Amino acid sequence: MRQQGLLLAALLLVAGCAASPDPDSLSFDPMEEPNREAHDFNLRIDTQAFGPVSRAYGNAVPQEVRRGISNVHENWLGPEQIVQYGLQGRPGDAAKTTARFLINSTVGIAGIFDVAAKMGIPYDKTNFDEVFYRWGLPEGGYWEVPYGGPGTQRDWTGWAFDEMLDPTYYVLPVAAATGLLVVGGFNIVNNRYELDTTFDTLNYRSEDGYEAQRLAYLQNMRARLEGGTDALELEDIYADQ
Amino acid sequence: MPTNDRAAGLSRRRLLGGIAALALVAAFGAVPRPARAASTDAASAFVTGLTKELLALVTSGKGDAQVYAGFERILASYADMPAVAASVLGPPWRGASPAQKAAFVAAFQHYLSRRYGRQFRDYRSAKFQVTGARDGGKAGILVATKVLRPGQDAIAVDWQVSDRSGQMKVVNLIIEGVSMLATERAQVGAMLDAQKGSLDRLTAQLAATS
Repeated sequence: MRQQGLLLAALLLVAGCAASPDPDSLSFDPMEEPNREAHDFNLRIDTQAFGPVSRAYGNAVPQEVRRGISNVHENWLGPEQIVQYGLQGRPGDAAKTTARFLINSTVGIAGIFDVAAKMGIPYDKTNFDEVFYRWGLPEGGYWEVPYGGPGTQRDWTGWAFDEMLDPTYYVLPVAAATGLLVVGGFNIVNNRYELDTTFDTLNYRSEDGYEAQRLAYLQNMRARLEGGTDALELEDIYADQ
Repeated sequence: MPTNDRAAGLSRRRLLGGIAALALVAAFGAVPRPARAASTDAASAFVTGLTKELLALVTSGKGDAQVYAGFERILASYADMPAVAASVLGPPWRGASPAQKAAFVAAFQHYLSRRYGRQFRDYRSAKFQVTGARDGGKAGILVATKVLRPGQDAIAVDWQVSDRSGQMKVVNLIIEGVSMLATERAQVGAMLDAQKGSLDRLTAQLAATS
């Protein structure tokens, strides 16, 4: 399953690189038609199941517990992120993540408490999508996946690598690895809950929800990978007034 | 010596003129300085004031309607709404009559206050922290703030500020890298298409946003 997914993703990545007109512009959307179908499907799932479940979870589980569960999830991404920082040529960040993992796995009790953040080493997200970005791989087209949500061809390829190459699942006993998968699921539900207002505004309160989510996703992803919004790339609203 | 007298008279007149100008500035607060860029310090102070007002509003414990109305007032006083509305509407702006423009600006401001007011309502137990300001040249200054909420990830909210209108005003809001201008341009464009290009019907739709 995993290998097939990777092969598919790699093929689509290559296909994405072959597509032409200005892939950096926000209007580049070569897969718009299937994407819109996937979007309608995802919204039905969200309306009927994912949204209500996440709100029920957020309302029932106290914030400290939800935070603890997210902390466990983030902590166990540590080993893979150490490798990913290595692949990006960022030994400093790899060392920081190592320190975080050691502190939070012990003093933080298997990652429940983010002690390292209080000591001045905050969580810094990285994934294979960032590895590919740093290696100069193009973003490819925007790709909304049924059940998966928004992404690009590069992001979903990165996701396949994230899933397959996570050392945690190969090292831990089956029961612990399964537990972490469940924790990962809760974390996804919690993210949906914490982003409820944004998600609602984009998808349910927009004239064109697909486009609203696509633009938000692409801009957010680019800002994250590029380390924030560049002041020199701001648009001048007085230019044609 | 007549020349010196004249010189003294001239400088006295200049002095009086200067005093009058100062009095005018004191009375009206702002001098139009369209050509000069605002300093990053001034822009940071401006955003600090704005976020304080915003936070006071969302932590006030008022109901939705009052918070949205308050947010609309903040938008009207801190943002250059006519310029933002014109930029979001794009080409149809140029063909609009002054009355249509005024109605569109008011309707768009209402729409924006609901759309972003909903977002800012979530920041009830939050703190704003100005983390830096960078000069973007003619486009303005980008003032970076962080919204800190207990137990949740911080949110990066950047304010693009410009004094090109003669007064320091917000011209764009960038939340976690997502530009309000880019997002709303697409939405307003989609609405205009759905209204078959009618600016008046678009204005009515925006004004009816709940």
